[in-house]
Amino acid sequence: MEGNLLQSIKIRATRALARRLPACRQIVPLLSQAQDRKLSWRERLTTKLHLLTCTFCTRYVRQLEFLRTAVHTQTQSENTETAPPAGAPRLSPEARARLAEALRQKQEVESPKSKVER
Amino acid sequence: MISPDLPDPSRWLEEYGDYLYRYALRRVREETVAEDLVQETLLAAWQSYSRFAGRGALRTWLTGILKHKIIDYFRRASREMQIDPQAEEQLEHDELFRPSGEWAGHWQAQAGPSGRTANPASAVEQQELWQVLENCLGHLPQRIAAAFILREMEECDSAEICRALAVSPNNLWVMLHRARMQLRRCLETHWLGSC
Repeated sequence: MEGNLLQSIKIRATRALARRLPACRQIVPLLSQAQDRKLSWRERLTTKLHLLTCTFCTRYVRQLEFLRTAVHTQTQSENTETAPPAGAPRLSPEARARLAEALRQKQEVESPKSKVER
Repeated sequence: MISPDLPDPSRWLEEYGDYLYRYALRRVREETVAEDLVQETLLAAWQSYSRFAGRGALRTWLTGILKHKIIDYFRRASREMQIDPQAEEQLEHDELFRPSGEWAGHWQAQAGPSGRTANPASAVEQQELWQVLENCLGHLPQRIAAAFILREMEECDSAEICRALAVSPNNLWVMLHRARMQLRRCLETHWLGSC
């Protein structure tokens, strides 16, 4: 009985809070911006409170994190790559020949500069 | 005095050409552009080889030069990119939020973000996830994709991207928000949905 009462009070309070706060539509841009800049304290408070009341936006944050991790995992494996992944794109023979020719020509007109570092 | 060996850029091409090409292709997503960037990179590397002088790994050094070339490319390309305000605005997916009523502006009950998560468990899965993501990126308007790629793949800071794409910080944040909203939606459909 008492548990039920507490539960319903909690739900009502959450809903009342949610209605007074900016809606999800205003919050989601801030959730993205949190990945790019430091939010103001007011923005942080608003988003924190909103997240307390909103399952969907909490999931949205998780999806943004998932997206970022997915990209970073890929770029990191790129940095440490020792052998090309199977089926990975390569320079075509034509492109390779063109590049080799461009390098050769450049080498002919200019000898390596022994620039002095400034 | 140890002087670095005379550079031989044709050997760099042999050894690192494919690597640099893939690196560029993942970002600029156009084969001929990626080829040109590799060429520019090797030429620039050859000219400034004295500054490398054998410190660190050659591949890392070449990749560093390529990164600059990629940002330069986006700077040039962004001047010619078509801006379709309507298409860009659609990426915010207004239809996912309730238009009116007591809960106006909140997620539609049926369209809210899904609770499913699926981190790739293996390298193969990671590769699959990346393919899905690349596909999703391919459907973004060019300059939105450029902003996302510079921010998340190149990990440039906002100021640098603003300079490259000639947009204000506020403008950039809107672009990134739109990119992420669309990409996470695309992943929800094509990656999380299939698990």
